[in-house]
Amino acid sequence: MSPSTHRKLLDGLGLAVTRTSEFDSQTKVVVPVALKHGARALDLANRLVEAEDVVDHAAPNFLAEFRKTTVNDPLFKQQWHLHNTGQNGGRANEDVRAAGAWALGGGGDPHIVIAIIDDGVDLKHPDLASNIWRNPDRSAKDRHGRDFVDDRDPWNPEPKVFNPPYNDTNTNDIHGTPCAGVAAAVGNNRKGVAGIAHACRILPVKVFAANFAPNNRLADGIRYAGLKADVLSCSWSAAPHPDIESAIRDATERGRHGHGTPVFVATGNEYASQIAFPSNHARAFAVGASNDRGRRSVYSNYGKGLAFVGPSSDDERGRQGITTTDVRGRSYGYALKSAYCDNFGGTSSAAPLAAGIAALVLSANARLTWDEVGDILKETADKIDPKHGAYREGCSAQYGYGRLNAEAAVARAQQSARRRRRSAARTAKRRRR
Amino acid sequence: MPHYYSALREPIELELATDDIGVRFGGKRGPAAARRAFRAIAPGPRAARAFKVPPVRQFHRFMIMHDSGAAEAQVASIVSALPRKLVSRVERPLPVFIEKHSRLRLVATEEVVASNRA
Repeated sequence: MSPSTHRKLLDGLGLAVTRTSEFDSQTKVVVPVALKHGARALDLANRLVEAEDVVDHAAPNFLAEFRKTTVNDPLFKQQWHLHNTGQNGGRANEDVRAAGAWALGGGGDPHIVIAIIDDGVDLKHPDLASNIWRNPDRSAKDRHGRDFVDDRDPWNPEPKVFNPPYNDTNTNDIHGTPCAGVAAAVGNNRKGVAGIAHACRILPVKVFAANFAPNNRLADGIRYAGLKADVLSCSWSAAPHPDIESAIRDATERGRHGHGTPVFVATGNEYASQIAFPSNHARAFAVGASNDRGRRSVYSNYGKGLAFVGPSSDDERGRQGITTTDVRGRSYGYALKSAYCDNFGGTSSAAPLAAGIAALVLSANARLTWDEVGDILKETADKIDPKHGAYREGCSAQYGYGRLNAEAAVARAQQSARRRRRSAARTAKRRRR
Repeated sequence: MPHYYSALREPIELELATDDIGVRFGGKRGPAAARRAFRAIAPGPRAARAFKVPPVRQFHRFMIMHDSGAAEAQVASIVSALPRKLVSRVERPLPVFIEKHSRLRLVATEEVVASNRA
């Protein structure tokens, strides 16, 4: 399709291109040349969609509200989601078998990178700092990630927006730091907590200011993460938007030099029997939450498209939250006067846990494609709560393929790596004859 | 019903958010004006706890105000809330929609994101 055809279409509708996505040359932001009274972005977008031989998709670039869904390390004993001994009335062994996974493969490969696509990460947190990704290109501006919503300071993906009340997820950039901790807080450093992939790296990609962002900036954040990271973690839900759909597809098609970058998305915490967008994207892995007694957390959205669940908090009285890193600063965060909180949770916590386990899988076998990673996680998940789960052919509307089992997943990935090496050795031998 | 389309050309339905209005501050100093306006009318720490939905939010040159009947009153809502100096920096009000299933708010700016077929 020639550029002149596109131009004619835009001219006919009185539209002009203001910018092109730096990650996808076909995606453009357009505005009316002269804003006529009553001209609506909705009508213009829908007129573009009608030209289906020229336009793949078009939608208003809304300023959109997003919903953030929540070793020798001294706080490890509180991290029941990694190792449940029955702390505080939970049931022993209702966890992701972190200890077993670490015994097999340690805390992961430092070359494996998990992108936390959220409202920023506290780069200097003592339990995160040494796991923050460093751009190997020292001349690059994105030394430690990128901020897609702050034009004045785009190369600094730290939390920046704080408004009272300071422990409110929607008005503060306090969500990404706990997510990063669940995925990859530094382990074995005699401080605080350990992430499930405690030796992997964290790429902070800031796409919200508190909980608002233009659709195209969030989509570009996903595309950027897909090019730089090995695993994507998204602990938020949104109104459907084609640019976000397209960005997730791009990450799974183009990421990791064509192997695809797996994308893990929280299903949402609305007590609903359907999972939220974009966890329902055909190429995303939708992650719900289970509690410390091995049952679905009551708030966790479930239904068609759910891939698996990860241990997290629950609303039921007495159920435990997740202990993880918190934004530092005396007056900000889930725990206002601490660098750690014990009340994180929701499907927000389950998604980075799944992403971290995927990072351990890729640490064991980096040649897996994005869907092979997903298959391993599904095939090795524990079929918890069979009575209410009603598993059919291994899958349940309540639990997907079950609760993630890091130990079994790493073992399976190591097995597949060994098989591949043996097969390569046999092929090389045959060629030499 | 107002709507837009997903990547698979399925309609995504919207409702007008009757209690919300968006504000665009124009010009090069638009973002600074929006930040000043936000600081002028955002509630303090104690008062903020009383609100289920924050009465005002700001992103770049945009502000979103939440008040009963704000969508219908539009200009009146904006003028009554803002300090006089900042009213003149307002370029236009913007409609706020609620997406039918997620119930999340979407502010319709003048921009459209379009992806061309290769």
